[in-house]
Amino acid sequence: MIIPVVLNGEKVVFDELPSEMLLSVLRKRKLLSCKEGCLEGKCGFCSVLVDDRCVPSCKIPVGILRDRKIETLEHFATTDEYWDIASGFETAGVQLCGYCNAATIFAVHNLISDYYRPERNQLSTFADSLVCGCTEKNTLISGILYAIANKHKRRGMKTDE
Amino acid sequence: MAVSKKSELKVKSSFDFYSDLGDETVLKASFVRSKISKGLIEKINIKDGLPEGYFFVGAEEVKNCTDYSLKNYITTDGIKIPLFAEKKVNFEGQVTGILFGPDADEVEYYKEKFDIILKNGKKNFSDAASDSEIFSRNFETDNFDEKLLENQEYYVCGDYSSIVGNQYFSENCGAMIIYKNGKLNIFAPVLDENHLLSSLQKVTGLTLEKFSLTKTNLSAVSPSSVYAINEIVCSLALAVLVTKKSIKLVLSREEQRNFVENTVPVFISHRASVTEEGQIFALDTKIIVNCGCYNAWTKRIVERLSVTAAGIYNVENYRLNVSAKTNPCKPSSFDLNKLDSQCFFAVENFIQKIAFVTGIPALDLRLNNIRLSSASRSNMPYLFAPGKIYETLDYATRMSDFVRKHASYRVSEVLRKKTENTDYSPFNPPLRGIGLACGFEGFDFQDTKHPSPFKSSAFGAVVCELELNPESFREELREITFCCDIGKVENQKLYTMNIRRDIQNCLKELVKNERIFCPKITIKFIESEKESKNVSNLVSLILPAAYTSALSQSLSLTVNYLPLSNSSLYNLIELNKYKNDGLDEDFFDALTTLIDENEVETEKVEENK
Repeated sequence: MIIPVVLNGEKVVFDELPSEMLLSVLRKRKLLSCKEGCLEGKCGFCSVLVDDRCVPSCKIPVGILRDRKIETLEHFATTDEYWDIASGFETAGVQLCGYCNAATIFAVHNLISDYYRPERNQLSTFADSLVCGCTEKNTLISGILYAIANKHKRRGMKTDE
Repeated sequence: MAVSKKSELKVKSSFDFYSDLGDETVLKASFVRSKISKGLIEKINIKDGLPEGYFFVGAEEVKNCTDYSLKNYITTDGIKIPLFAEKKVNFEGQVTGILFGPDADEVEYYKEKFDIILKNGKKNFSDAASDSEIFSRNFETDNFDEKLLENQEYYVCGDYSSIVGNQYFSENCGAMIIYKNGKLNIFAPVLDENHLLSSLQKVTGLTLEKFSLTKTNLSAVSPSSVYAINEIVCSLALAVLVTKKSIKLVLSREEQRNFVENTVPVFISHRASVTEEGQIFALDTKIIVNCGCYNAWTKRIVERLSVTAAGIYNVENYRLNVSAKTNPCKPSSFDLNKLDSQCFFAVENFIQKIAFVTGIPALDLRLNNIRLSSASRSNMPYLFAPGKIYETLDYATRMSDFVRKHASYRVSEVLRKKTENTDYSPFNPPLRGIGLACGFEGFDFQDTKHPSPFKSSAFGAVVCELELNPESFREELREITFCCDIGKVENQKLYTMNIRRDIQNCLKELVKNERIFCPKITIKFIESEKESKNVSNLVSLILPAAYTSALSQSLSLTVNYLPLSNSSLYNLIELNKYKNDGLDEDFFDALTTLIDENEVETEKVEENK
């Protein structure tokens, strides 16, 4: 089946079975930032952005992606939004294991896109929802707060509201 | 704080994992495993044969390879472990060979077509009578007698089992070997490269120059994966040398769970007589460890269990029996820290039970029975090195207000029983419990029979406080206080962060398919000018025991196993209700069995979900 999509900013065509999972299609194309984890949609290691929303690519059949915008961490890493997060993480001392990079960064991207300034308990629940054991919760929360500050600063928004 | 420029951002690369390596020339492999537990192999068939470009290498192919002097087994501590099942299958899931080809999906497809014909094959073979002891260690103080267990004020006994495994995800084990000009270029997340290279030399008969090893990123360090990767690389090396192809193998999540992350099941039983003052007069400890079909580390497992069996406690009269059994089950992985954790879980919960039975405060009981190598008289097989034990316990209990809370919750518990208010009504206040556990990490012990030098290790104490919501039957952690004697602290922030992360990860392992959180974690390091001590696993050694101790107090019953499941608390409460009603023992046993079965069923349903 021919499935036209926008992959990392470029129009491409997937020639795959509609039931083929997005994860395997992306990995075949050497987009290796999405990792194989539980293959059940639980761990998030295979996360990508579809229309700017973080989704587990191991559970998304390519057949439903016609004309959708797909973005992997390789491409996202070139954006200002990524810089906000990565820089915030670095400031807070967050050290990701490398295997969960897509899971954590895209999940944080979702969170800070949805909430201008998430509350402490929202951040706590969010940090608890991440399954990788490489990062300590409070450090991660600090990293997210720095990321939010970076984003607001970059956009000229109020940072101390 | 200064922030790096965009170009200098340092986020660990996510592209240095073995599972991301390889190109079209590297063939994708998968293990072909036996679906039957036991039997003699007659033939391994594949319907309609394999298409071109696909290969199968098993024991037969290794044997027929004349180019190299290959061995189809690895030897560790004198135990031969076959890489591919040779004449017989000994457990369900045993590897019979490797199937590989250019397309991973096709490999999985053809794998299902394999037919392993067995003579006298038995599915789900598990016969308790076939369990046999392969190694044991016994210790007995002079004049130990069964009567010593009965002639004091109190007699306490308890059985414990804690089989907690990793409940978080990481990269599955595997490796890639590129074959080029007779040389094997290995890419694997290796921890112990010397061990791997030595095994490879023995298996392949090749010299060291024929191997080139590239260590790839490790997403999670687990001692059990050291052994698994060793086996995988050796098996792959055989397949590579037989076919002279480059191969990559990644275990599936199911294989990872069943064959790498499974923990050695240990069952510990303590019986003790305790004096009126709270001194453990005699202690009889029996440990049974199920090593599965093969376990190269049996001796080490038994030795380690015998060291940590009695925790940090000193007993005048002591008998210890550690027995390792082998049976036709999958081999369990080897993780010394998990073994220590199981021993501390048993002994710390047992101490808590003694406190419950005797009414002596849990802290006093511990202080009465602590064992030090400086003690003038001790009959124990191993002595614990002196450290800041008393300071550590003092800090942990003072910071958490343990003594007052423990007494207060104990009073509520007694009052509840007195007024016969044993109903778990939503209108009752939450049930509260607080548990203390302590232990040490590392090899800092001294064999009294064969003195050996000390290494530095850490002593830690943890207090866990929780309350049980009588409406939802859910426990809610209120506070965890962790304190340890750590020597010189070089980077307090980093140490604190790591301990908090360890607590976070340990909590994930306590309840199956559930995650529990703690809103307040307090950490205190007892510093000294001594060298820094290793605390990397201390949390996982003692936190499970503190958690179940707290849970036991809140429920007024003994929680003696881990991991719990969703329905465990409800089932335990139900069981307790019947116990309080004074039902006869047979009925009670039948009910216990029924509840156990129900729990297994619930777990299955959850797993299927």
